[in-house]
Amino acid sequence: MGLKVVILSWEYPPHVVGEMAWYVRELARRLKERGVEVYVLTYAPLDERVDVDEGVIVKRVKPPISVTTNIVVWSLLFTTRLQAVVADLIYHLGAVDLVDAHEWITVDAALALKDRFEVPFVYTIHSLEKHRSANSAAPLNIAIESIEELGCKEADRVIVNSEWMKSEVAAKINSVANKISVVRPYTEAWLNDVLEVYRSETL
Amino acid sequence: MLTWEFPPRIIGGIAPHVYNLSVNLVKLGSNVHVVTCDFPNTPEYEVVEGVEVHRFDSYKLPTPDFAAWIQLMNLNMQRAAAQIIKSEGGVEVILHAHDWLTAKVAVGLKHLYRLPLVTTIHATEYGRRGGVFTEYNQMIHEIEIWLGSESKRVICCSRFMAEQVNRFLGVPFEKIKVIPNGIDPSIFSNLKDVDAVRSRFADKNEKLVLFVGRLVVEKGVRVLLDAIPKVLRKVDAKFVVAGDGYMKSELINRISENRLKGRVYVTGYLDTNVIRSLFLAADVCVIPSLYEPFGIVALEAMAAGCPVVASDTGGLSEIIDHEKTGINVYPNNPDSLAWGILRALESRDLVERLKKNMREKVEREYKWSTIAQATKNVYEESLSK
Repeated sequence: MGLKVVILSWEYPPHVVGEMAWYVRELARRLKERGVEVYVLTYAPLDERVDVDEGVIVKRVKPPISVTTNIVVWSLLFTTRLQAVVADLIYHLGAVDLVDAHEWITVDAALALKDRFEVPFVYTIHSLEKHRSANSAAPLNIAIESIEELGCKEADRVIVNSEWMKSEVAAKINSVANKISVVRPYTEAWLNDVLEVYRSETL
Repeated sequence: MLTWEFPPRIIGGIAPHVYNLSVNLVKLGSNVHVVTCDFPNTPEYEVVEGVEVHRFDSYKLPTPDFAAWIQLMNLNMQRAAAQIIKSEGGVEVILHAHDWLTAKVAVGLKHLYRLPLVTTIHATEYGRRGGVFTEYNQMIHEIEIWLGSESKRVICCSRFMAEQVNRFLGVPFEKIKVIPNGIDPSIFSNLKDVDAVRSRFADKNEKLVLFVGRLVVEKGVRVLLDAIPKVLRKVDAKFVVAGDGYMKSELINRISENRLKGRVYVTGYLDTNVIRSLFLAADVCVIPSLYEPFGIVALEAMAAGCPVVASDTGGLSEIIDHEKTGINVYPNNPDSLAWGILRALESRDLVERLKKNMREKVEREYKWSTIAQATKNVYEESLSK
């Protein structure tokens, strides 16, 4: 197979905020089992470090500053560092086949990498701001939603975990409906679903 | 050239600085691309005196704060810059960032494309606030530290700023280059109706005292207001306060409270030609700044032949040599400021001497061609090693 895939996720054990950390870990592990060379780039709650977690290379990266006034600033500075580390990896490897960016927090990095290296960008959505936050009219929420929208529009493919989420995303931006794929996590079909998306973007 | 402002989008000193630097770099044979925020009624792409200006869609939706807007704007700026770098393919590209406002895009591009990064620090958060007190200040301060550490060279406009950048941002002196801001004296030729502009504000027998600058605390607006009555007790004068900022309404209120309404004009933002005419028409230009990394206004006044009364602080201390190229006064001291203004208004001999020295200093040290060459040398340095 030989696919080289970079997964961007700010959540990864031990940085666990919700279910996503475990999802990403399990996905990465199973991809590795299927012969994919997986690099997970995630947030470092303590020191920056590189570990190998059941064959998956995990690089943990810190944002360049310690104090921010809101998560929009935080995430955009974090992704500046994140994209730099992935760029170094790509220079070292020569190329990677795909970037799978999980959640809006990592969209900026995926976009920058796509612009620079022309590497396909898959945007995996676990939840939408409009569901997470009852208050969608506040500037913070508007900003996050606009990043989600940017991700949807600029990604080559969008992965969601349910038909319901697919319809929610399509309802928000109907121009992206054709590029949304539904995968079935933790089922037999899960990895086939994901790999189908990956392969279709890397041919 | 990564900059959040570029003419006609002019917010502070960065826009004219980047404009003049870019135009003069082109004259030296460099290929300059300015990447900057869009602005009403300006084209997305244009060539201005040989400089390729690219204006991208800066983020337009509401944001939780200014810092968040800046980062979102940087996201868009990087996408625009990426296209430009791609189109220049294979040519040595140097990144030149201006202030923390373009830190994200600059550092991002540096690592993605492995390009040398030169940064000009025009002012620091620490210096502006006199310290770092809130979470917000701390955040900007850290972004500045980050940008400084990621840059191959850091350009400062004065020795004062170099000290600040070294002490507060931890940038080693070996990395810092002091290159002053410049002025193009020819902007003051071909101005018609200088007398007409003057007569809008002052009669022939009245002196005209000019303040040009943002109406913010660090420009010393309050000090000026306290000094004005002291000056008016001795001399028939009109004060023109040109510029805008958050202190504008406080200023207007205090002017009516102190019954200075007929004597002090708060004009708001004025057309560039009117401002230049005012420099030619004024008897004194006053710069009572509390914090001033450089003081371009001083250069403008000097090039126009208008005597300057300035706080002995920051970059102003390096531009104004007391009783030689201007008059220095104690910062944050209305009595001293009033003394300085009166000195400049009362002695004809002094004024003649100042005018001659000012002209010479501008010729010798502040021509844009000199500054562009010095900058180009920094670029060359950053390419090696």
